[in-house]
Amino acid sequence: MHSTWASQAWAVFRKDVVVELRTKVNLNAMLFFAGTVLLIFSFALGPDPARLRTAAAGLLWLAFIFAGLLAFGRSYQLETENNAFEGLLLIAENRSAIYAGKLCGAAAVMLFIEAVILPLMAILFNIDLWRSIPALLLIGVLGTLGFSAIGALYGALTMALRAREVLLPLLMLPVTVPVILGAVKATSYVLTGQRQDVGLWIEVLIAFDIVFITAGLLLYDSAVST
Amino acid sequence: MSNWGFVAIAYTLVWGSVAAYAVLLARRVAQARDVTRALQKSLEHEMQAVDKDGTVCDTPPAP
Amino acid sequence: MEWIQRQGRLLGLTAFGSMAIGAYLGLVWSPPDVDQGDAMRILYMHVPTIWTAYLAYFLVLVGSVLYLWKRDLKWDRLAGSAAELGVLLTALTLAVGSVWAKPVWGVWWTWDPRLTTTAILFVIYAGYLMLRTLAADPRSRAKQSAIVGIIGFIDIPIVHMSVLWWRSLHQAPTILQPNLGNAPLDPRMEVALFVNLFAFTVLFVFLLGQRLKLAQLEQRRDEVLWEEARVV
Repeated sequence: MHSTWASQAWAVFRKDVVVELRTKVNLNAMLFFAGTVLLIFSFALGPDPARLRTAAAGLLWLAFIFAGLLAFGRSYQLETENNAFEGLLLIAENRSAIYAGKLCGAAAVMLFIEAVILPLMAILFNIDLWRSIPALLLIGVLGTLGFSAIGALYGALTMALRAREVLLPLLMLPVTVPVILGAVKATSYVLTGQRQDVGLWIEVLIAFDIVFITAGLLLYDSAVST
Repeated sequence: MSNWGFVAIAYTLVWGSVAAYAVLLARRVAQARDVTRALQKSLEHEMQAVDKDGTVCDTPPAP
Repeated sequence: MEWIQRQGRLLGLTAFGSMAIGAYLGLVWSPPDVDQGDAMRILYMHVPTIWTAYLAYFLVLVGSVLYLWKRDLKWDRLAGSAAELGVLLTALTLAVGSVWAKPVWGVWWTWDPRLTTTAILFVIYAGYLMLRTLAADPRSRAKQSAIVGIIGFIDIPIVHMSVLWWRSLHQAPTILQPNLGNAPLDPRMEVALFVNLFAFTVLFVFLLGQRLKLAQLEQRRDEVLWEEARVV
């Protein structure tokens, strides 16, 4: 099969998205999980609306990240069934195409969850979203890409291991601290209207994305080779 | 607590941990060496036994 | 690598001797600080532990890159051994830093950038060690941990910058400042610090050699086990 890098990446991406859409159960479960995280953390902080609004950005990203961790575990867990991943490795001439496809697939799932959870949060916390939507969209995409850059690589490393459900968050969360800080800070500045401070954190997110997507593309071949 | 108290805690922590680690490491090295040696011996034994049975060798020994 | 494994006695004695000298210089010979008093002596432990921890993480990176390049398990042994020491030294840095912060800053812990970065470093490499204990066989363990070792090291400066912008309070680094002409340190303090830095570096090399020896023995043990399983 002689196809270009882009079409291979696209095929992997499409496969992952189609699988998620067809099985729905998992997507629904992740949505409810993210919603529940939001709700439980709000209970933990108490009913004071002002305090909830200052914590909103952090809670939002915690919900996204927990749902994202499930998405990455899931994305590779499916591949271990029936040795599907080995088939994938045989077909793709360039392994980095698989990485790109996996990254975008999991990022698409996360972005879908974010698109549903964000309005929910706006209603629960009484936040006016309309004017912030373009900025939040940019932060959401950049943050999700950074998180996925690590997730698509580490998911492949841990998929065959015992205790991978624990190990994946343990490895991913500390490395993605810059994404978490950047996304939370930028979101919180956008929500509170301090637009002049957003730029720095957007730059942090862009830098993280560039560095780790490049690293992922370069290292993926050694990560999956046997 | 005086400053010297804190100094004492810090130095004890560092030296204590390093010493404990070094001792533990030495024990792990000794243990691994013993185990490897014992295993190697039993492996040689095993190989000789297999040789005597002649079940593994399919070519006769050179004259 | 073979050299430091073989020179265990020489390195061990040098480490022990220079540690003793360093302790004398740090605890007795050097004067107390004008502002911090005797609590300043804790820095003679704090600075060398973090320096050797960074040295260890750099060696994890070197071992990881060389393993992926050459596919020789000896580089994986280097990375794994250095990581274990790095985690130990980072834990000590955090503990000792805490003991120093209490009398000087008045709190055990603050969300200061360098403290936070060090804590994140600790978690990153603790995860690395955890991964190593869970892998199925030596080859896939080497491959998996090499990638985590490389990603972890690339992450350090990014984590540091982002945490720096997030918050700031730490004492500015005084040794690395370019204007050494009017360095605020008493020269005796500098001597004590550098002797301790030297002592900890030798100690680190000594412990690394012992840890490498252990890694080699463990690998040999696994090979023999495997061989035995094949024969029987």
